[in-house]
Amino acid sequence: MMLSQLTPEIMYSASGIALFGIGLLGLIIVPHIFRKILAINVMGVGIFMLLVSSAKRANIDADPVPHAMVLTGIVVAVAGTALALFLVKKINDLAPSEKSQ
Amino acid sequence: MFKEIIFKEDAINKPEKGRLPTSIAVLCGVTILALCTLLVGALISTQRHSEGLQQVVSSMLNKSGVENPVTAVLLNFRSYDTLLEIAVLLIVAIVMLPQATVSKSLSLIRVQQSADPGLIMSSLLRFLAPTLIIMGGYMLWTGAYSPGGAFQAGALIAGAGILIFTNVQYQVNMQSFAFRALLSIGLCIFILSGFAVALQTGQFLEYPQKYASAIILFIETAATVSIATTLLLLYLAVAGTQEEFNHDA
Amino acid sequence: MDNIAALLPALIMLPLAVSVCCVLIKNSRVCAAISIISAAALLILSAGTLLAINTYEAGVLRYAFAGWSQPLGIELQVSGFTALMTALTCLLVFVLSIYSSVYFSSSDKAIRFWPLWWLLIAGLNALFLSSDIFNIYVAFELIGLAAVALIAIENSRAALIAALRYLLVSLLGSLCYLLAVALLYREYGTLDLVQLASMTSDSASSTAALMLITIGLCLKTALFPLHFWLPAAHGGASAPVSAVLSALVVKGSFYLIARFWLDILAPAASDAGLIILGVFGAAAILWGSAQALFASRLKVMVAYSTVAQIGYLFLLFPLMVGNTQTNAFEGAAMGAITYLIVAHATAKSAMFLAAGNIMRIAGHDNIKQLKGLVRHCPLSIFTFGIAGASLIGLPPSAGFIAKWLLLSNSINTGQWWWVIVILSGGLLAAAYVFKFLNLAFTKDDDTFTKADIVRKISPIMPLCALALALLTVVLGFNAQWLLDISGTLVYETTGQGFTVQNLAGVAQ
Repeated sequence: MMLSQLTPEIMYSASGIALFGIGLLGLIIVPHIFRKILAINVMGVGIFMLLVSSAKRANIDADPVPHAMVLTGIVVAVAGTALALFLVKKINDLAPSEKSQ
Repeated sequence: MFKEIIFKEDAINKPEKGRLPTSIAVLCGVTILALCTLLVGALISTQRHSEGLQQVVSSMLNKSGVENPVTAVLLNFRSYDTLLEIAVLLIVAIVMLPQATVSKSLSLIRVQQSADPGLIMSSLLRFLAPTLIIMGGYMLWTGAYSPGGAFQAGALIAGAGILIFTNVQYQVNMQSFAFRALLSIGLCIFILSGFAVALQTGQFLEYPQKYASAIILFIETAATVSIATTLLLLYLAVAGTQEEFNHDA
Repeated sequence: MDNIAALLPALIMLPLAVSVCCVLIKNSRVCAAISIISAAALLILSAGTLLAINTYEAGVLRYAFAGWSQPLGIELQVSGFTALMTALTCLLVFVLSIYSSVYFSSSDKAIRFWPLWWLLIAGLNALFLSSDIFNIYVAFELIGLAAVALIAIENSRAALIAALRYLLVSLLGSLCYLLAVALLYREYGTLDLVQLASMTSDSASSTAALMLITIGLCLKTALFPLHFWLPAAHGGASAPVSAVLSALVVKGSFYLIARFWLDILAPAASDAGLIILGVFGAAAILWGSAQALFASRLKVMVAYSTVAQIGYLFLLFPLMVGNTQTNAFEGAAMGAITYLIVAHATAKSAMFLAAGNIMRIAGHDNIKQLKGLVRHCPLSIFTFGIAGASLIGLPPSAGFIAKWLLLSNSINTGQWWWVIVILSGGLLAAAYVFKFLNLAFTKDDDTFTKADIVRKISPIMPLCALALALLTVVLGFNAQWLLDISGTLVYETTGQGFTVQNLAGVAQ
């Protein structure tokens, strides 16, 4: 790989993809359900980072459309996370026999 | 064989039961590493588009009714996305509304003057809650010119709401009509405005240019109210306070 | 014509408005009445769109939201295929709304059901009509969260666990899709489907995007082996919810996989990829049918049958090999798949409603304990039989026509090995349908001798199920009619299509 290809845009975008991968790995291998929900959020943040870093340009203003997509994505992520947490809480409330901590 | 992928049923209560064998975990790690390498490789080898939609947005910005391009995209050029996003929030709100067990005649907010919130809480209430609400209002207003807007404002106001209603002194009645109206007013106003402007301009959500900034502020205000109420509900439903008021009263 | 185009947003906004009304009113009877009336209005509107598309020669209607045409704004796009999908959605929603008004009449679940139901419908119509890849992401989230919420109103621990797993899978699928959207936007600088289709190349980034879209949407469509979440979710939901999940929700993501592979990202698609999708489809047919045969609960059996039927849909891809460079979203194989989607949607929703009736009457759906059931609910068993015949592919049913078209396509393209899979899938389907019918018709069993075990249900419920099942027969008798429509189901990516904007431009 040529060093000249490593523009800041590529480096930020690659970190976004790394976050996506870390989140995906966490979703699969971390046993705790709350951490799985957090892992999904980490994946989302990775994608948002990719979007935002691809919007920034050296000579012109940043492209607002990816920023708007990120804002919409954040709201949707909040909704999904809240629904997941709520379901976990209800499942815990209905836990069979022995009480969980 | 496949049923327990993503999570094991037992692991919700006992995380130690959800641990994968090391060999499988390593295999997953290697696969995901390969996937990420492939994606980064694709990024490096593919030229980025020269400007995205930046030029198109800035050429139409003066017709949008706001100066902040992100707000223009969210509430004018791609307002339909935002409308659906508000609908997504409504789904979660409906799920978390407590079951109807009490009469509807109760008022939205109940105050218990006798309860003592304690020194720290009462001073937080006195100084932080009003500040948060004013900052929320500012965020909403400034969204037209600089970063800010309905979601940021809603989040701040929801913060104030959490501060107020996790307190023993104040309780919100989530089964009142008023609370449900607050939850759905954002979507309601968005659809009604979209329809109303269509009578004038012919296209759904196409604002008459002269009134665009006023209509955007109107829709954003309604959306802020719904977002703040929904976030407050999400917190209260997941954190599990307020059970008493809503189930036994 | 422009009148119909101007009414397109109503297909999405009316369900949203009904949902808001249902949140506010909170009276299940009023909500049900509003819902049935609105469903009828939607049905008329979507049927009008379908008829208009067929008489309109360009075959595509477009509508620019907020008056901003692409790439700045979001456009709706209706072709023959999407018009048919919307009409199918509205038809099922109409029948299922009538069914639900009875099903939930004596339940406090109705207060949650109606608003969530309408948000799901809005999401489905938004998905089928959208012409914008990011808007499709939002529509996916609307559908996904509403579907999860509808499963969760069941409130049992099993249903909640199924809902949670479905939610995590659905979010994972959406995020894979969103990452692909980010890659595509970074490379092409537009979100509009039609613009993208005219720009895409086989660059590494586009290929990666296609891969991510395929993984993400196959998770949502529940293609084997990513179907693990489906049986519990579809089997655990209430009857009308299961029906709409199996009949429509999984089809929405399938439609997009097909569109990306055969149309939008066709330059990045490879023949090997098409064949691999077909192989997974074939595996789904065999695995899903076999699991259905061994299922101990009736609704789980019907849910596994959905896994198998999804497999048939993916046979579309290998039949398109060598055909991707032309406009592949039309043609004989696509006609077969269109027919299959319609046939499966009607048969499967009829089957889930029948299973729901049986569950209401018997109080459970444990197959072994349903001996001699036919005496207590002859109409529901009859419905199950007709719908089963369509799933097996017996004439005269829509399922028969669909499988016939699929078989003749396999032979015409020289891929005879799919014939074996299709036929053995049919045999397995016959095995599991008749396994249940055989038990239901077994006499001299004392499982249901006590009259008090058996509950009475309103006659409207079996009649709704029967109406859907008869629809599969009607579609089987009128094959030519549907094929004529699907003959005009052309996706014109190169054509300009029709927008109110264009007209206005000409007028000035």
